[in-house]
Amino acid sequence: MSGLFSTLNVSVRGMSAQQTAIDVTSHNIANANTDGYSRQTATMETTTPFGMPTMNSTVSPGQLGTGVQISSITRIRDSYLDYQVRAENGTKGLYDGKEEFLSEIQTVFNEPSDTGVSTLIGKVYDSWQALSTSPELSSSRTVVVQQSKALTDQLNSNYNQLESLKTDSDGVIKQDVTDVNSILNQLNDLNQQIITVNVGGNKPNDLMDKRDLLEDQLSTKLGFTVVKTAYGGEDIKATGVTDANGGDVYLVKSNTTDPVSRLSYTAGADTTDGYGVLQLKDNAGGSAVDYTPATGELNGYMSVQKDIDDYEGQLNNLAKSIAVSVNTVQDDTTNAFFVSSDSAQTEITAGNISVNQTIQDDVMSINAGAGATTADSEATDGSRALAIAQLRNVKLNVQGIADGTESYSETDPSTKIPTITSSSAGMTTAGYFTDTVNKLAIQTQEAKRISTNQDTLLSSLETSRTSTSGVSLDEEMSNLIQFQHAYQANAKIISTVDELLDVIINGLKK
Amino acid sequence: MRITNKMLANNFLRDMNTNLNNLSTIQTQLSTGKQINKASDDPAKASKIMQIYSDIDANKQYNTNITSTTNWLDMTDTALGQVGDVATRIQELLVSAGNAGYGADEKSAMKDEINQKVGELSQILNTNFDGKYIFGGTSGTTKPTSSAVDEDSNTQLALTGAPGSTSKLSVEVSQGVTMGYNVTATDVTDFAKAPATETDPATITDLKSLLADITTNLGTDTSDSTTKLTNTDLTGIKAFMTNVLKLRSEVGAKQNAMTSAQSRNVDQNTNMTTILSTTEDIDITQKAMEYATAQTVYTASLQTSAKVLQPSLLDYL
Repeated sequence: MSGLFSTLNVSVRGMSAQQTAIDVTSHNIANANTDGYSRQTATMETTTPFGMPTMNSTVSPGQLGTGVQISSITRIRDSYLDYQVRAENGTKGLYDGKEEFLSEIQTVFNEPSDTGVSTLIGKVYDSWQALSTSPELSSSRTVVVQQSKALTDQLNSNYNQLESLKTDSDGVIKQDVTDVNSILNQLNDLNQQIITVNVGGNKPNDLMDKRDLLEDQLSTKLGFTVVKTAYGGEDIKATGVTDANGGDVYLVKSNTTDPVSRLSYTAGADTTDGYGVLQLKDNAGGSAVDYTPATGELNGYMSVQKDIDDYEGQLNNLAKSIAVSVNTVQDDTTNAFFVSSDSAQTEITAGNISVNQTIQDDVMSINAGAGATTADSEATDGSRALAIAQLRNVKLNVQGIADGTESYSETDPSTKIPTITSSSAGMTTAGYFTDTVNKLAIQTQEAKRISTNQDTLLSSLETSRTSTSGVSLDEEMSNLIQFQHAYQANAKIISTVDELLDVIINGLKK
Repeated sequence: MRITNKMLANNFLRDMNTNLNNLSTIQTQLSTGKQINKASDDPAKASKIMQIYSDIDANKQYNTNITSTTNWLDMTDTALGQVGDVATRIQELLVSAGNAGYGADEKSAMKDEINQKVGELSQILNTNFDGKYIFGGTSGTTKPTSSAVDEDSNTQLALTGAPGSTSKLSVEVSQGVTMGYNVTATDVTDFAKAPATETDPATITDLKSLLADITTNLGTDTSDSTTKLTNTDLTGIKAFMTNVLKLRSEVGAKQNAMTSAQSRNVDQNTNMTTILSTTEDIDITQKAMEYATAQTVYTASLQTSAKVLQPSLLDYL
């Protein structure tokens, strides 16, 4: 039979265990709204029981318990959900990045509207029609020049906006690279702290929550694989890339002596296309490797650079085909209607297309008639202007114009005006632009749709995660009440034992 | 499944966001009256809308072309009518020239009148419309004819012969359809291809020579000249009149063609506008219903969530 003092000990242990449990509960409540926090529970277990050999009996009715202790404080977390969340985060990041820029491109094109390029193209051809019926009026010629100028200004402005979007994307990628490197450094530090705590035999719950949160954030930027190592350490491996020797590229290593890589980004470094180049370079002096993340925002932003280039290319094709077709019919090599405003680059692009300054200065120099030159054309002959107006419905090889291999001109023997024959594989200029806008719209719509789907998916995963790890205040409150009562009961036992001791000490001997 | 307070709050926030998004979409649609505000809202519809806008725009230009061409043709018709009137008067005078009782004085009076008529013809052929001489061909800023008094004090009609004076003007009236619409002064004066009768072809084939011949013949009071007046010249003026009539009927046919082109154009425009409207515009009733539904859902979610999110065990401890 144990003594009263041992009973006191049991109660003290009980109080201390309940107090720890209350501490954990209060920590949970305090962190109810902390991002990435997983609720923790204090696991209680009985202390080692005490066998009671006595002088007169070696056989005891049973072992006597010695109280309670907190065996561990654990966080409640489903690491499989983490894995899923990170995979979906990657896809969401990718399409969010795309959508962000595609919507911007869409804003640049501003279609369908009555102020965009497609309307202006129509107005240019209309003005040629009007010129064809009254070529003797300088006003109708001025309208042609001004409408054409409005079109070229709009094309120039769209092109420049796309160019600045490309610069913006460089800026965003650079920002992301800085963020990613900072996250990786934080992860590295956390990893070491976690290993140290684990080696000391404790559970670094809050540090692990922090590490998981950082990994979640990292997963929206790029794709990676987590490799668990000893003492709760984690190695992070970049996916979709190998180093110069074909080995894995690690971003974070548990073993601090192993080399780890960091990202770097150089805008416009690609020699063929002028896209930015993302590279991974390790800290052990290895050579840098080019890197395109498999998923994540970085991938989205990088792929969008190519999209912007595509759309610039299509604007260029459009500008060039309008210029080439009008110039061909205008048929004046010394006084072409559309010229490049950039003296260094004679090839017409959307960025440099402009109406010849000579024609802007003297609108009467437009050759509207059938004569070989403006001077040869009769005052009211608008046949050449009519031929240009009719280009509206001619199917040009707009798609192939960049090659410079397409032949546009075919001289109609009955008049001196060159005519352009429709190509069965071609498109009208307005049709080509509509097509471009259509393609862009479909791409944007797809990015938006996938992003929305990912949102739904992620929110359901997040719900599952919160369901497992989230703090429920009601639950914590009811736990708190239990712990409080247990604490009070233990205290009651102490005061009871105190009374008993009083009986023994003060009551037995009067 | 374990439900926590944060889940409730998160769900509410997400659903509220969805509801507000729906409301915002419907609000934009209702306030703009358009189903599509960005191409990515519905790419297929957007490209169709752009196509129709472009077609309507082109069609409007064709309409303008048709209207101005119709005016031109009306003007041409009036002018040709006047030419016909003058020719009729000349014909009357020629017929009366055959009257045996007419002496030199009468013929001289006739000559004076015809000289006047020559000047009038020249004026008619120089009709100017909208800054252009309608019988001037592609040289529309140069007078196609002139009249001058010669040493016999006869008025002579002359073609100025500007380089483009015989050229045709054409206009596009609908996609790919171009029409020549002008009559040149040469078309009017050169009546060679229109014999007065099959058996009695005109020997003089242009108006200038015919009028000169008439005034010369009227000036010389001989029986030979009188015969010429009543034969060759009369035949000639008849052939000229036939030619003018032929030109007028051509112009009339073109006017008809323009009228039908215009009505086709207007029909097309109406059709395309209808298609555009059904593609682009919202159905107000439908949207109003959708708006009412969306608003009800939003209000319901606010009401429920406000009640669900508020209480906790703490209220009862």
